[in-house]
Amino acid sequence: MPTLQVIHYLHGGYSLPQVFSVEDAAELREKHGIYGILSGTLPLNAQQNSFLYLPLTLSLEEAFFLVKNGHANLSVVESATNAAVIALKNQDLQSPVEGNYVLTPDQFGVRPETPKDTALRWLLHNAGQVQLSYPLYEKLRSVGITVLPGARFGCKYVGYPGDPLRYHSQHLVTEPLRYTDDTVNLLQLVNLTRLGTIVKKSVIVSGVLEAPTKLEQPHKQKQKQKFDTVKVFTIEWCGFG
Amino acid sequence: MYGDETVQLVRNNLVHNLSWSDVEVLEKSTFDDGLALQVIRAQPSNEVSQDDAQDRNADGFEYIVPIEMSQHLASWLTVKMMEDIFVKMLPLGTKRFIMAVVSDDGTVMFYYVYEGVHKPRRN
Repeated sequence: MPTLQVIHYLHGGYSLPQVFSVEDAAELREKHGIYGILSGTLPLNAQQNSFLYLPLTLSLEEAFFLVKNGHANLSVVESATNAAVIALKNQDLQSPVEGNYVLTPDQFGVRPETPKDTALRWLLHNAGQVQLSYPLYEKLRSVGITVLPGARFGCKYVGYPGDPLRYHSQHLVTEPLRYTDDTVNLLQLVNLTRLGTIVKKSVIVSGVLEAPTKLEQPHKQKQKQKFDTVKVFTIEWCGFG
Repeated sequence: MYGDETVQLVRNNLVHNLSWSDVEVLEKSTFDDGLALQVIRAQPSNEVSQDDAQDRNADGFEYIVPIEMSQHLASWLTVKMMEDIFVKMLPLGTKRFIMAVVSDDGTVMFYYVYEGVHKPRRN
């Protein structure tokens, strides 16, 4: 099973989850539709932004999805320990670090009231950041859309009907809104739809009904309900007016 | 939430600018939160895109909902409101409505709104 590595910094923050093995990256891509972003550069050319290699950096949404559904282990490395130094040596990055807490999928459902474990602390630390975007990510996956970051088009995600290497993207996904409280930014919508007409993409606007505050035990029925808590609409410029 | 002049502006745009036929302003609907929206029903004058046959509503009508856009004030359009429009204002099984965004400088722009995820049309 692929292992996601997270570094816990001394100041309390966390690095984004990263994958350090080619086999793991391939499995994530082929089996689970997790694409991430390659982020490894040559030490002498740290500014390079093409021809990147491992590690594969995952978004929080992707990492949550994997751990929640039991597709990956999460290994949190404390940056103050020797283990971190060892972990950052290239030859050792292939295997989970000894002596650190490794969260396996069946442990994920532990109620996070007592966040005694490092990995659960990681989950709680990040849960707020993906409060709206994680339900949207799940929803998009449930209707067969995979996503890459959308900064190039000025939106949250670019949506693909499958592997981004095989298909052209079809959707510009905007930042998820709260279903009743947040209002749609019409000027942004005008921008995106007009852009979408030229690049042949439709704009997806979403409202999250009930943002889950706690990560609950993955439960088949619960999950189904969760999909329904995100409402999605597709908007396109008509071509006139 | 908005005055009759906004609805009339969109109606006139449909009739005189786009030459759509059977343009009819339907009854105003007021939602629980006091918001009132109005639907205009019309028949398009020509096909808009190649996919029109499969995308358009079964009854052949387009339903146009005017929405005001201000350059200075936040909009009041929420995602809930879009769903309310589908559920409470349009005939059952309507695939799409047209959101007529009316800017405070008088510009009218038209956008298709589909429930759920919809593939982009071919042009």
